[in-house]
Amino acid sequence: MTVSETVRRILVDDIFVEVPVESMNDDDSLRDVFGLDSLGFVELRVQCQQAFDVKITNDDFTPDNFATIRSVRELVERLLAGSAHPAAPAERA
Amino acid sequence: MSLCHRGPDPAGPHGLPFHPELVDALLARSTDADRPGPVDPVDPVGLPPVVETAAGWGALGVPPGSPIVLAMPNGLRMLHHYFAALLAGLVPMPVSAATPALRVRTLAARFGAAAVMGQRADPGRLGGGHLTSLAGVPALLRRPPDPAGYPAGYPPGTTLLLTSGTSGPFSACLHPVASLVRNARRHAESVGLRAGDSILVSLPLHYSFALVAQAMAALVTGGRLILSGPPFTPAGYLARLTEHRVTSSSLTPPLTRLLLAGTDRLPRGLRMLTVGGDASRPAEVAALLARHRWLELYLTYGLTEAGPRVSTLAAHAEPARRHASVGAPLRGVSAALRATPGTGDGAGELLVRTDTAMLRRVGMSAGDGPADRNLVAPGVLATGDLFRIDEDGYLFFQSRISDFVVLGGEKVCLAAVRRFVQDQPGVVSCATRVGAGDGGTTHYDLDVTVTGDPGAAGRQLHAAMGGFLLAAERPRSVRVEHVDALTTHK
Repeated sequence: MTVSETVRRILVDDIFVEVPVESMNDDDSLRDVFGLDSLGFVELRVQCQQAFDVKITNDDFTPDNFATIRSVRELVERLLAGSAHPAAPAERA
Repeated sequence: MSLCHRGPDPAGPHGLPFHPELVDALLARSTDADRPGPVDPVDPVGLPPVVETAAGWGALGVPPGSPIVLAMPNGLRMLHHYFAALLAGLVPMPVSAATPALRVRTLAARFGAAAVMGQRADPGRLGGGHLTSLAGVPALLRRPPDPAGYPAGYPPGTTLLLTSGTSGPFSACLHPVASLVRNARRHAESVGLRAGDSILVSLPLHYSFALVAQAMAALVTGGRLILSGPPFTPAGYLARLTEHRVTSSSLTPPLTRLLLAGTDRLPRGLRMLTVGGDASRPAEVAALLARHRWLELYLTYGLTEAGPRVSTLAAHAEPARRHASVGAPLRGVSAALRATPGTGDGAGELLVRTDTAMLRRVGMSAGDGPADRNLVAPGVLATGDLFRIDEDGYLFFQSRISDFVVLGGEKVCLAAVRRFVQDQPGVVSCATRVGAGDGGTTHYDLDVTVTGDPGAAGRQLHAAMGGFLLAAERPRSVRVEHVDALTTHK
């Protein structure tokens, strides 16, 4: 599963976003289109850390990095590229 | 037409205390912090003048008095549509954009809403209707445009503000907008808000505080709004304060704790900070003041039913012994205590008398209890909060009486959660346990007994809660046991 696909699954399975995965666009706003509220963003951060085995610091937890699926994907890819042992996304049940 | 920001409220359409030009002026001087550049209301690619959007409602055949659910995130568009609905004589009801579809549908049905507005207002999610759009935002008309076919609902010039914390997820306060604006003026006086202030709105606009004490206060004082949304992080917050030269900001105690956990300081351009929505700890008040000696720090208390602001403490101007207080009532507001069983030491339930109190509570069902139990007399509210009042009239919060908690700044009605869980198939009983975590954060756990397989029931319950409860309203943990286990354990 790609980073983008994993983020979509997180949105649906863990954050209960009510948009079907196949209808999600990478550039849709997480706030305006998917309706994430403050705790939804916190949950997305936690789930991404677990799924990709990365550490998302407070400095990276910004509205810009968490604006869209694409920006989250780019953040995760950047963190994976910077880590000593890049990990594939963890398998999601 | 004068855009004067002082003096008596001017008469606008539908008894509103403002004219459309004042709204357009507010939006023109305000900014979406999360989007580049201001939106010019005369720019065709931005927002149209608010009267055009108001006229659009008339063209759709939606009669005055109809409730409109606004499920939109913080931003100029949300405010544009809120005020446009008012100017069209409609009754806007702002809700969180994160509200699950089932809940929006139930809300719309319970309140007889004529339309739901928001990016996710599509017929597939919300049970049908006619999809159109106004000023770039999808609007789902729930009923055919037949003005003769259904009752108008509520008086034009009023608005519905949800009170999920105090009375379940489907109750709202019906307020005249004129009295909310009066409350906004009094709040502005109490904290020294003035023309030229740049006001950062970090709290959701469906909170009565942000809508009244920030947006409406900016409307009448001439302040400028900087509208922001989640995620909230100290670094992002501090950057916005600096970037937008913010002079006034409002936070909840959990958010101020996040700031205090770091070593950063607020920029000196921030003249004033208000903190409310839950009780502040005196030590945190002292720490904030010690770190920012120039800052005007106001502790605020209020409730949506009161319109919403009730009292203010200018903590920076008070001795430390008063930092546990939420101050004295605003002008036009008075407070008293009523005897409450089991309390001593001069404490009692706080009663608030105010001419900005809700007209009535609406949306309650038979299982929710008396509809107006808070409104003990016209203009007199029983707050459900235990207080002491000192000899100088300062209010000291003691504890909640009612069955709700504040989780992450969000009021959550535990009775409503239990009722929802109890309604799920196979659930025999459920109980909530409130606890405090590290750093004093509050949470609750849910214990459920079921007749079927606990594992399957737990998964089903998890999905059901996800589809109905907001993230803040969900329990920290859910323990599911077969009903026989209870018998065995006895």
